[in-house]
Amino acid sequence: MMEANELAILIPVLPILAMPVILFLGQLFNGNAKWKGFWKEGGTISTAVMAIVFLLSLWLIVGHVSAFSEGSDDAIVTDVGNWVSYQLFTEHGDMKAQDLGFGMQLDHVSVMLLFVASFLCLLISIFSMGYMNTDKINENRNHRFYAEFVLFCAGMFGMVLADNFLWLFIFWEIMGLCSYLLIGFYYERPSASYAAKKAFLTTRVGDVFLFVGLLIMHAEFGSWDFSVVFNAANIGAADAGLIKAMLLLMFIGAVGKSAQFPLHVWLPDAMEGPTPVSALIHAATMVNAGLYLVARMFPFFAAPAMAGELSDVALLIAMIGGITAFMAAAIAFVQKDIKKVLAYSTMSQLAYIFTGLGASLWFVNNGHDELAFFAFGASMFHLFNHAMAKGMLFMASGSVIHEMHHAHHHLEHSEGEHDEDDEDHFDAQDMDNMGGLASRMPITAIAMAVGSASIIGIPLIGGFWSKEGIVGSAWKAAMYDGGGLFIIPAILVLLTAGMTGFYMSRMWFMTFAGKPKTEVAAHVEETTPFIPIPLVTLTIMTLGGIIFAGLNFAGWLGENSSNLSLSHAPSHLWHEITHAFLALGSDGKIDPLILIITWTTILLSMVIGPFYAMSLYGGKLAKGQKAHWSIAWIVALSGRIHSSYKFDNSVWAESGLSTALRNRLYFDQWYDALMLKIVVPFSYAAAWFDRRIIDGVIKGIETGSQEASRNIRSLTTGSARDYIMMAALGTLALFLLIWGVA
Amino acid sequence: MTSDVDEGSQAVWQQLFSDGQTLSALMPEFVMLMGIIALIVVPNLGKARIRLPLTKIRIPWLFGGQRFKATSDPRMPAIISIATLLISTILALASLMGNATRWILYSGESTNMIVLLKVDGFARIFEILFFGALMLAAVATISRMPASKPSKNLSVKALIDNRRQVDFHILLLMSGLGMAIVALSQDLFMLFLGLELASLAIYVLVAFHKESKAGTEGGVKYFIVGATASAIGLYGMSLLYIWHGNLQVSSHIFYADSGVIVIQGLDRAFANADALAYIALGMMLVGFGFKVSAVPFHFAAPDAYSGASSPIAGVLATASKAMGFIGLMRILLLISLPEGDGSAAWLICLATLSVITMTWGNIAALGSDNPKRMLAYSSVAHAGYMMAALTAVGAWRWGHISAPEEAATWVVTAIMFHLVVLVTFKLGAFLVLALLELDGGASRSGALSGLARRDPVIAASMFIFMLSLAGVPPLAGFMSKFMLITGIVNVAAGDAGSLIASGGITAFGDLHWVWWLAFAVFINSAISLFYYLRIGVIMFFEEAESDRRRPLPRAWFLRLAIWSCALGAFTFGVAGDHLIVLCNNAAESFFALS
Amino acid sequence: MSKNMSKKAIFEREFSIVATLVVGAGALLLSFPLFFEEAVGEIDWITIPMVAFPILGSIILLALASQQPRGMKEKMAFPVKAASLGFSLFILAISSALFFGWLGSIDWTTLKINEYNMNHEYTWINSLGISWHVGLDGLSFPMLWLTTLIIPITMITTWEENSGWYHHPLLLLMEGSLIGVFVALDMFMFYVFWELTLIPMFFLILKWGGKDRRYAAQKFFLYTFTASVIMLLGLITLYFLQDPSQYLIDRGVLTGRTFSMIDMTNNAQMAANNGSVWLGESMQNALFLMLMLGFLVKLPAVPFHTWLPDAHVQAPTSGSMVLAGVMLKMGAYGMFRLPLTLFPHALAEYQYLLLAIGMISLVYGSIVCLGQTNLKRMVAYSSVSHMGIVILGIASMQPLGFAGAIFMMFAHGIISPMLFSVCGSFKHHYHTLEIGSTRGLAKASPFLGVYMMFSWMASLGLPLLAGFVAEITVLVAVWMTFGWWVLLPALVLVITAGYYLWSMQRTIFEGSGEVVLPEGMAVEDARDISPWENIGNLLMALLIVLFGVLPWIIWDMMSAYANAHFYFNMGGLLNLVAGGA
Repeated sequence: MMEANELAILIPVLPILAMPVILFLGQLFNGNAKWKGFWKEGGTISTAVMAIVFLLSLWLIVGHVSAFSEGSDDAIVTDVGNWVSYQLFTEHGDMKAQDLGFGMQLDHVSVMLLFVASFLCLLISIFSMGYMNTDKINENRNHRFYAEFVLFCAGMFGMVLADNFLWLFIFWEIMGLCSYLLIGFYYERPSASYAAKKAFLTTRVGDVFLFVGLLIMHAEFGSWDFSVVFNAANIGAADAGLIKAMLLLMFIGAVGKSAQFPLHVWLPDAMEGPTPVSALIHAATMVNAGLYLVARMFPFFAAPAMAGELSDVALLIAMIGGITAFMAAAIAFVQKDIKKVLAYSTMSQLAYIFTGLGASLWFVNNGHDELAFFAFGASMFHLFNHAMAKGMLFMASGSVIHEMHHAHHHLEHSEGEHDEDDEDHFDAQDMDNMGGLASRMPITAIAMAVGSASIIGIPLIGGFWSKEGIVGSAWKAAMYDGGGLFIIPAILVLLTAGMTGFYMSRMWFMTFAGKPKTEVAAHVEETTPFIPIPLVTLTIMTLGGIIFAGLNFAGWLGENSSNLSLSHAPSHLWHEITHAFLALGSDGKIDPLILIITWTTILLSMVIGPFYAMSLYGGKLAKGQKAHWSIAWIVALSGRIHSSYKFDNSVWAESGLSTALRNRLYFDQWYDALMLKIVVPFSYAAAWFDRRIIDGVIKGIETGSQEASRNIRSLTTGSARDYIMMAALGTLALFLLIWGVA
Repeated sequence: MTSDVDEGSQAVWQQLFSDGQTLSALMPEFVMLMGIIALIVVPNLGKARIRLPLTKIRIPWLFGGQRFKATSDPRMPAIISIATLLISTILALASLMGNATRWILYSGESTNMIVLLKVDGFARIFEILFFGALMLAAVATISRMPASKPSKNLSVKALIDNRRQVDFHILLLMSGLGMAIVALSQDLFMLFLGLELASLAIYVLVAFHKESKAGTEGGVKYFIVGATASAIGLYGMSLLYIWHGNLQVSSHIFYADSGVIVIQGLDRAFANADALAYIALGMMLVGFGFKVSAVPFHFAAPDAYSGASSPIAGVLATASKAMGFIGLMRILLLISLPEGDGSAAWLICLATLSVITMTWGNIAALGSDNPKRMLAYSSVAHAGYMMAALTAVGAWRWGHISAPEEAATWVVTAIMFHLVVLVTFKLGAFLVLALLELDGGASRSGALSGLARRDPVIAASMFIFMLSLAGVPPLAGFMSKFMLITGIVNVAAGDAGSLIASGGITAFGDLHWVWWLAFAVFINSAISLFYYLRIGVIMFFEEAESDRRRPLPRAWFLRLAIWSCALGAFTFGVAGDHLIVLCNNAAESFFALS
Repeated sequence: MSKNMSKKAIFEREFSIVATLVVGAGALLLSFPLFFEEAVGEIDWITIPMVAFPILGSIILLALASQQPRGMKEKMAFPVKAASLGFSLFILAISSALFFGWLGSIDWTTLKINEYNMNHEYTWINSLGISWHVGLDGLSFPMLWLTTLIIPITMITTWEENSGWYHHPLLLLMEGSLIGVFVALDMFMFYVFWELTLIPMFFLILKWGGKDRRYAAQKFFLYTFTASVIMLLGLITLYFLQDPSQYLIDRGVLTGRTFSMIDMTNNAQMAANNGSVWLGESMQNALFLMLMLGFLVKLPAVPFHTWLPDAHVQAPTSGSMVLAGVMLKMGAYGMFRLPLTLFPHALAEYQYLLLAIGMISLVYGSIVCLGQTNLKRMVAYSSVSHMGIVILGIASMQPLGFAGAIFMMFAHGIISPMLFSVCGSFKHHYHTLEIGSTRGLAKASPFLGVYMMFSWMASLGLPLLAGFVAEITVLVAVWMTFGWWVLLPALVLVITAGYYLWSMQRTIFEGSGEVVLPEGMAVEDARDISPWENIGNLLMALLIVLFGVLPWIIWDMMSAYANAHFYFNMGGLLNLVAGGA
């Protein structure tokens, strides 16, 4: 097992090394048939690397888990080496030696994230081999995609494994760079390059605050190592006010990275990137970095010295979560672009996790450790479920888009008049062009159904277990004295549960149910290689949520005492179920409030939301089309409801609210206005000032002296008389001066 | 100065023209005299014979008749004067290097005995400077004033065809002789004598280029203004004579067999000077102010420079200016530098004068398109720099911090060093212009355009001269300016160093205000860089004018002079050490009593 | 050159000469480490050839080529370039050998303040106490190595962009004088080389610059010269504030004083160790300001920066690369070497002045960047902004801040040449520098796009690239000393990202499908950068990554210098700093 830790450094390093290799080979063999065929323009390499990395991390994880169940419940830290070392003046005026090193820390959270990251990176690398390499646009530049892809993976692994905040930040930034590069993969599209810039700048704003927070941390603790920073004694020694400021600043960073209100604007535009990118970076891994950071803050709140000090920070976190969850869900109602819907749903689900974390941090800060662990575990578990489900959903949507695209091309060809820029006329991502795909692409449809179910929180499926916990925790927090304000996020997340039910089902039905809305949709075929593999795998993972729940995954993530054990799985499962449905407290009594909340949630999310969606967007398939049995009944049900219950939502559809939602509540306009109307003109003014005023002074001196020169030389009249007169005047002046002194 | 007897080698007292000793003392000057005579005689040698009466014997009587090829050669006068100058330079150098005896030449008997000349390192260095500068000018003129060889058939023209060169070189040597006398003189009267001998010769030399209207006009102006200035100066001297009784620069003690003879010089008298003395001082300042072309007595200078042929302008800017500074130094540093604490009366006055001069010169030079006028103004500015250094000595032994003895000596060293190296780059610049005049005038900066393409070496030398004038390291001009500044700062700082070393501190305000003169000098040199650089830009950046594309004329002698100047401008910059030591010794001998 | 020889013959002879030079240089280059393994002990004179070879070499090459008849000169271009490159590579070999310890086991990290490796002295102008005194320590060696790195890279990058036979020799002259500045331990010598660097740069701008090059060259020369004469005045005053020593006077030093920095530093330290303020407060402050003025103008810091944009925009690529890469560092280097070492008390006195200047340079510079429409101008202002970080590091008066500032000098020294070489290639191939006049160049010239993106990212302080280490260390120090002021630099990080990304979006990106070229340019002219430019940029990129990932290679000696500086020099100041923290 020790070897595992020694080899762990390979997890971030291998992909980093793979990057230049792919780039170089791609530059070398660009266009070469074999390079395209077998090597998939680098796809094969990246997949291979990802496979190795995945195995390595499995090795690590298994080692860790077994060690844990053997009772060594502390994190395993491996020090790799020093980076820079230096000296500082301390308050007392003597020099203190410091060094910044790189090391790797493995504990429950990082293990879980490591698994998620490596697993999804592998799957999505496979997916890309199908998705990217069969698309004409990417011809001869896929090696760039794969290079940036592996670099991103390296960043993610590094961030998860880092044992100090500096290297966490470093890899955090690397991920930001890769996100920028990959969003701008189609740099020739103005929209893409704009979106890339927007994403980088928006996250940069957050990063800068995180950066300042880290500076404070360094000043307070003299180090960035988790081992030092999380030491309760050190925290006790630090200045509470500064710690608070530090946590707030770091949280802003998390907000930027995880696209929470008000720094959420970049995520929807980020969908300009290729779909695998959206799946990996903007759904499954990078956006979780912010959550990971907030989760890492736990020890500060847990420190006895900070008891009660930080509860409003926790409240703020939950608040932001609630607001974002609600807002994003609302905006998702009106999105026509399938990827945009998923983007907003991502935002909303991440917000859930923030709410849960907020609750957890609040609990621990106010001394309710058990509840805190529970909420924490729920949040982390939701992170896990959401990553799996959303990754799958994006890939599924990718497959839909891809096939739509192909079908479109196919049609154009068959009709014989094929012009280059037909992409502009036809939007393969618009759900109004789809419909009735359930029969055309069964695997995708099933995957999407399962994924949506997990996101919605249909009982016993993936997300259900964690979401219940989060909502419940929020309400519990609201019930405790001092946590009264938690009622706001609590209500918001409760409503959002229902809204989620609506927009997720809406997406599914608009895509798969009903008759094909365009000629293209009728000709879609599910043919591309590689794409089904990850879909199937992830479907199983998502459905396996119940197993993880049974393994007491959440508990394991939450508190460091309980461990994963297959042997007690049934009892655990039963325990979980009772808790989920009967809201049994730890004391074995039923908590009436939570019971109500639980069932309201279930009702809203699995009945009301989907019901409205069916009635509005549902519909039977076209004649002769048969869907797979597992989803056929849903389609049928939707058709029935659609035909029998007609809701007129035109009032809403035309209302100002929905226009506002369609315009994403005008956030982007405001930000653009801020940039273009204030910052840029100001900078032009500054440039003018620099040229005219500061440099103007210099130029003024020059011209002035030239002027003076002309005047002076004009005194040299050329007639000796004047010269003598001047000399005489000078003589007099001399006399006066000498006299003045003598 | 302070101590009545000076340490170091005792001077040899010698009555002027009492015996051959005088000759050995004044060897270079006698050589100059010989040269002048030779210049008068040699070109007249011809095939003339006279027949003994009643016989047919015709004895060759070399005066008159058809002249020999050699004697009628237009290069002949130049060669003679060059040889003369070379010999006297070598002699001066020899007597400087070997610790030759310092002569004090006096005249008159016991009571009315006055010291006329003093032969010491100071004088020798300046002689070398003068002769060197004149020699360069002479060398330049070989190419500068070409004339046709005598033609086969005799004609009037053929007879007189090198007369003009003869005149030129006679005047040149005369000015040299006068300058030498100025350098030697210990008595203001002698000094004035030498000054006028040199000046009158130079006035003519300025106007010598009589084909051009500008030359004659400039010469006449220069003469008128100069005459006025000299008159004022002379008037000042006569006032001094009335006031004191003699014009001895410094006091002397002569241990004659008959007993000790003490000559009361003006320096003692100035300890308790009155209005009359100060008026006289002021008038003399005017007189020499003109010679160094200090504002506002400089107005004639630009006209003269631009009118005169470039080598002569170069002599004006270097040798003639140095002559003026000898006068200034004698008057200000020897005569009117009072004993004891406090500053000299002329301190404020000269400080103002120097700052005005350097600023005026630079500002005026900024905009002038004529390179010769530009160089004229720049030499005005350089006069300002050196006067600033002189001013510092005035502040010597000020207030509560007293500068050490060396401070004053150091300033004089700096000034001498500056004057010497000035010959290399200032004269060099003028010589380059001379080369361009051969190519058809150098009165517009356009004449320099594209020089880099036409003749890279000459352009490079010109750029060296310009940077050196601006004081850019590692060139001589930087070194000299550096020396001047160190001189000023040295006085300003006084012995603050020892104070600090002994644990004390000095505030910045404790520095004497002459420190700000150093500041002014540096700011001015920064300003001056602008127009010097402009010359460089014109040479390297602009295309040559359409009528000036062909390569420059050969003029090997001129080029030789330019190259040696460039070499000097570089060498004295990176290896000026020996020269500095020489100047320092000279400066000590300058202050030393007999 | 005798006229009767045929041009061909002359050319062959010259070529043989120069080829011999190149081969000789190469042979020396290879043999060098082996050759010196024995002579490990007595290599203290090694810096003298490092100064002399480039200067003499350039003079020889210039003399050789300038005497060619017309037409031959152009033929001489290649061998002359090759020879210059050979010379600079030879120097690089020496300095690298010193760096990696092939030449003797030199440990750069154990030097105390005012201790120098390869400390060597000749008397030069004895009467003034001026000597040729050279030495290297943890501060000057990185700068030296940077110089020897950047010059060959510049030569390679601009191999074919700047035609003419005296371009590369000028760079060689530049290298010699720059090395002279960095090795000088005598203030006079320091000043001489300091000014000497102006001359080749003046010609580089004047000959190969843009259309306003005449104005730019003169402004550059005048502006920096004016500042440095005031610095010189300060030095001379300092010189005369020493006690004339009889020993020196006996040795023939007329003024009895020396310009030796070592002596100065010793005096300063003696005073500091006695707890007294050397020279007294007002004198220290006055001299400090005089010296700082010269260095701040060179750095440059707002408001003395306006010569920089003009110089950069007009200068050729090579000029910009050397100017931004090394010449600006002279300013910061001078600060560390003289005022900060000699006048610690004045530093404490003016800590907040420096803070203000640094902050203004940083924030104002970056905002002005955002407002630029000219690519090179933008990059120039970004240099101003980054030099602000150096000043902040100094103002923080923390060892970490000092080390960070020095590392920033080095990092910016390898990043900014790349920025300017990218701008240069852009100008070279697209004949414009206007941001927004092109679109989608990443398609027409991918390498240019990649290098632009890389250097931009490096300059905006992306982690694992050289700039980041400097930024984070300096900002830590700034927080420790000035607290919340650090928000301003943090803000600048965003602005920097802003203008860089914006400019990229409007040059190499967009243009959906077909590339948008500046008007009057044919599509077939839009080609990628030349192999030479490619090699140069690649080298710089590798360096940036190397020092971003493994900063300790060079960080350690810098940190050691900073620590020594504080241990020995800041003795009396600790309480001040503690108060500030």
